[in-house]
Amino acid sequence: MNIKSALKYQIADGRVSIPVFYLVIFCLMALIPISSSGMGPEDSMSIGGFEIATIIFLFVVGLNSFRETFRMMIQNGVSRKTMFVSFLLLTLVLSVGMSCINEVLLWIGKAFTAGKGNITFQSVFEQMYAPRYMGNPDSIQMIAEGLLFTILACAVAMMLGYFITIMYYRLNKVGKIAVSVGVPAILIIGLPIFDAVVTGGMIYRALGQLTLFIMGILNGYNPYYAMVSALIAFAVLAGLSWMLARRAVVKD
Amino acid sequence: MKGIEVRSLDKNYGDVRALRNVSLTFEENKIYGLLGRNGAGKTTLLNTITGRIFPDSGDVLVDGEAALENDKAQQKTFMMSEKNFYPEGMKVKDAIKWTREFYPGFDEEYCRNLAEKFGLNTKKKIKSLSTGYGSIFKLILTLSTNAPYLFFDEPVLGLDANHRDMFYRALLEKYSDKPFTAVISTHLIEEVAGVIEEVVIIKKGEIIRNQSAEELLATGCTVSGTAAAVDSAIQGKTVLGVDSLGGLKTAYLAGEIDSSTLPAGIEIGKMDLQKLFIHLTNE
Repeated sequence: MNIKSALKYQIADGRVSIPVFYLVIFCLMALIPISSSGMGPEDSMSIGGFEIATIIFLFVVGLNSFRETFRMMIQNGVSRKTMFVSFLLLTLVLSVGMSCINEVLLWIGKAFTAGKGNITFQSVFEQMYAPRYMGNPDSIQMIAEGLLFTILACAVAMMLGYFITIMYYRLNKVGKIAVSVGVPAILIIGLPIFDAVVTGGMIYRALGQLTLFIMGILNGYNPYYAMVSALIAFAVLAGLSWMLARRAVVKD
Repeated sequence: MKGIEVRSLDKNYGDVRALRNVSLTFEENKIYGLLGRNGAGKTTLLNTITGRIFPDSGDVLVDGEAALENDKAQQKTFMMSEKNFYPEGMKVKDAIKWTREFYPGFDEEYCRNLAEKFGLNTKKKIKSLSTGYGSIFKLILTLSTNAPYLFFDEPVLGLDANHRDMFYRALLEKYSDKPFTAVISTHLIEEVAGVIEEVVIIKKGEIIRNQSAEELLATGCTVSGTAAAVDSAIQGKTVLGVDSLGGLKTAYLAGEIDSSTLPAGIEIGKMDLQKLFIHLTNE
């Protein structure tokens, strides 16, 4: 009963932001015929990447899903465990729901641009794993794998946002400053300098290879590598978030 | 066992011991006054019972069930806090809607009627309410939940005399319709003295009194009369306080007094809770 109410509350929390997000996407799609009308025969246009916008949007949703919700839940006798489980369900609902909507938008976009050789409407997934579906574009297999890939990417992004926001909530003032300054300083200044001066670019090369590996690019463009990696990342982030959430207390 | 049982609660904030081995029971269907000076640990105790913070040690049981992180147990409680825990942009009517969602026993009609009586505009955003109306909003929600254990932390903060009176009346009406347990944490002792049945006094994180208001007040008395007569009557007695007006005096005494030993013109009266509280909680 409580999980249902908590989930209902969290879904209602996004009743404005989600329609606004899709309104923007819809407006962008509506611009396609206008912007393509002035194209000459030598011009070409590539459209896509809406799922990246969805992933970023859900990351922001995750970032905004703790503080106010936690206070509201605690006020209404909802345990931290129920609140966390309802967030996991919310992640599932939004990731699946928005990925499916993306798939429909992709299909509409493709339908509109069909027959126009100089306009390509593609998802990021299609661009990344193009060699896997060579000669078999828009197959059921590609649609299903693309959908699964997007769902998992959305879920990881949302959980990452949630983890960051709980971590900040739990940190004291000094900790917040240390993380806010330390992490960007290491990633933007420390690591590149260290890599260039000490390891001669080895770290970034290794990170690049690791990224290609976990995305399955090095393994015959196999998206299941990315999906398994996403599942592991999700489990780790969810575990860490729960460790932080279970002892969170109300702050003034 | 019905009621809320608090067992050996300890809570420290750094070097400050907010709760020290606190054990007490809030019985079913009674109105408690939780009294203590600023920083005595009243809010910490209520926050611990309602799971907002964790104790360092000890347990809280609601109707015999461990309360911490237990939805079923926590759904039997509702706490009206001094602070606002509702989202920034939420409107009063939405808070009502969501409280009804989380508390199935919520009485929406009663809530609307009470809001109308208090003149609370439910279309307003919670953050735009004045301090007084902020308290009224939370009081109305709390009373409407129909949860069996209600906690009021400084319930009349910012309320004018009329609204304070309306609140006490609403509380007693609700209680006489269907009894519940109410714990009122407040500084306005004189005002709640007529409402509470049981008194819990907390001092520096320790419970120093936990008994019925009647029993507690029976531990002292007042003597009134002319200043000279009162002065002579209170000699050798433990005087908790004295009020003087013109040539008349009222002295607050600890312990019982034998009326036969008093000089003529002296009247013995009931102890004043506030005076007793000041005496008990003074450094």
